[in-house]
Amino acid sequence: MSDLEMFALSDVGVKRNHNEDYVGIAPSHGFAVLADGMGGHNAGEVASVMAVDITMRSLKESLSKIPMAEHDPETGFTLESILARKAVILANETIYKTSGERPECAGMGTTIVVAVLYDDRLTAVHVGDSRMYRLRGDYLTYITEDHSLIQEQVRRGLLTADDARNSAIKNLVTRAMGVDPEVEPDIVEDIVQPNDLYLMCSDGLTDVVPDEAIRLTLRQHGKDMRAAASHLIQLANDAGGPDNISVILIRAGKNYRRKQSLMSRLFG
Amino acid sequence: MAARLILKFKENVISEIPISGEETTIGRKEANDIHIDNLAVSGHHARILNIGKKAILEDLGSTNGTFINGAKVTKHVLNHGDQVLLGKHTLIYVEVPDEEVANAPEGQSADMDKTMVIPRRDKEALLTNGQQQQGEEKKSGTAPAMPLAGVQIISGPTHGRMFELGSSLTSIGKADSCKIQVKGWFVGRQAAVLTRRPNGYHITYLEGFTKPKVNGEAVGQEPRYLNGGDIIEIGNTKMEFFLKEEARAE
Repeated sequence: MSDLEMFALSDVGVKRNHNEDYVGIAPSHGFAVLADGMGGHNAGEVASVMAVDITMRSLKESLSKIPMAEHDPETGFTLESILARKAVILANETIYKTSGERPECAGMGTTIVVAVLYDDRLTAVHVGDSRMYRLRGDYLTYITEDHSLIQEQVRRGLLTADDARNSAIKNLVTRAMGVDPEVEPDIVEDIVQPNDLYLMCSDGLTDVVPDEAIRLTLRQHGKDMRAAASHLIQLANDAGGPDNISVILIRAGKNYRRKQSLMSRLFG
Repeated sequence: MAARLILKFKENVISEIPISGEETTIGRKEANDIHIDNLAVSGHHARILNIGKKAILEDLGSTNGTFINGAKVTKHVLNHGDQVLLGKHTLIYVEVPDEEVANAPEGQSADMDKTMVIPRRDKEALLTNGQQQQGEEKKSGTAPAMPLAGVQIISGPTHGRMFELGSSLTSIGKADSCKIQVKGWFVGRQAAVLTRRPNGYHITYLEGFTKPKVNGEAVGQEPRYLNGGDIIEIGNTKMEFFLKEEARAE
């Protein structure tokens, strides 16, 4: 039968005095959301909390009404992917509006990465430089590709991945929530295999901890997600902890089935 | 707080220049500290003055003007991430924390680790240097630009059949649920998956004893990027991957 484990941990880091990251998990509904806020004073926190809350509320509401893993022929995505994208777009609109209406929130923004699990699938929807990785066996793979100036330069062949790590401008993101009335989330779907371990994280982890260290930590502690998450955060803090660090770990059994509303169970 | 300028022409990073000292001059003539040999740049175009902890950019009455983040300026206090456009060249102003500064109490100076957003129009300006790239610059709409590809079966029982890879995921295997069905003793129910993502198509092995091959090489759990013309082989079936339309870079 289905089983789904999720664990989330967020840490302020060493150099900051408040945490602008925000995480939320809903294992019974099969989704998780992580956001990394930015903006003066406490506005970054406002943006990341709004992003997570609105997305989660919207998903909770909409996922229960659709049949599982149905394919939309027009877009090539599943209905879950389309709903997750919609939830992110809705959150963006609200954050953007709030930022315009409340002077103390002016200029706030946030990244977001959303995971939705259903059947043997996972959908990742993201904006900005918060990431999702997948550990399968020995291999750590990127599920998302950062929306950052550096990543765009790498994609266009102007920089190598090594140059990117050492670049002074790695914190310039090219897409974010709350800065424009419209946002373009990327959607990635993945087929989940038993024992796959997914990691969602903010750049507080990936800016200072190399992929290889992440891979080894997940390999070694993956069975105990709490231990794996605290080890990852420890690694980032040992490297100076310059930013807030958040991680969500997800492991799904095969054919995870979310709770369905009675109506969709009868007619889905 | 040390700072540097990243000099770009169109899409290309030309150099990274540390700025130090009280004055850094920028212009077409060789006597400038930053020498940009292009007719759109005036002989003595602009200068950057370091005053206290601030760097101030000043246009020196140049013919074509100096633009910061899209707005024409004569004098401007530079902030981390500012993009200075002179003619067709862009200078990105980047603050680099000194070793000592790194230990300074939080919140004193501009924080390098703070993530910043580049508005979309500035991003395009930065990556294309404000040039209309032969008029093909596409207004980035709401749909992510993704390439569209297909596979054609070139040997096997379904020889000649074509599959468009319009879905985000297309599975290959023995199972009835697979869009591309292949047979073979050791082929998995869901043997492999073709993924369509904003950065292109990849194939990944999923299950079964037989691993798919691309151009004769076995594919493992690392996703393998597919190029047009690649031959995918699995079980009793061989297929050719082809691109229907190239997605333009945003």
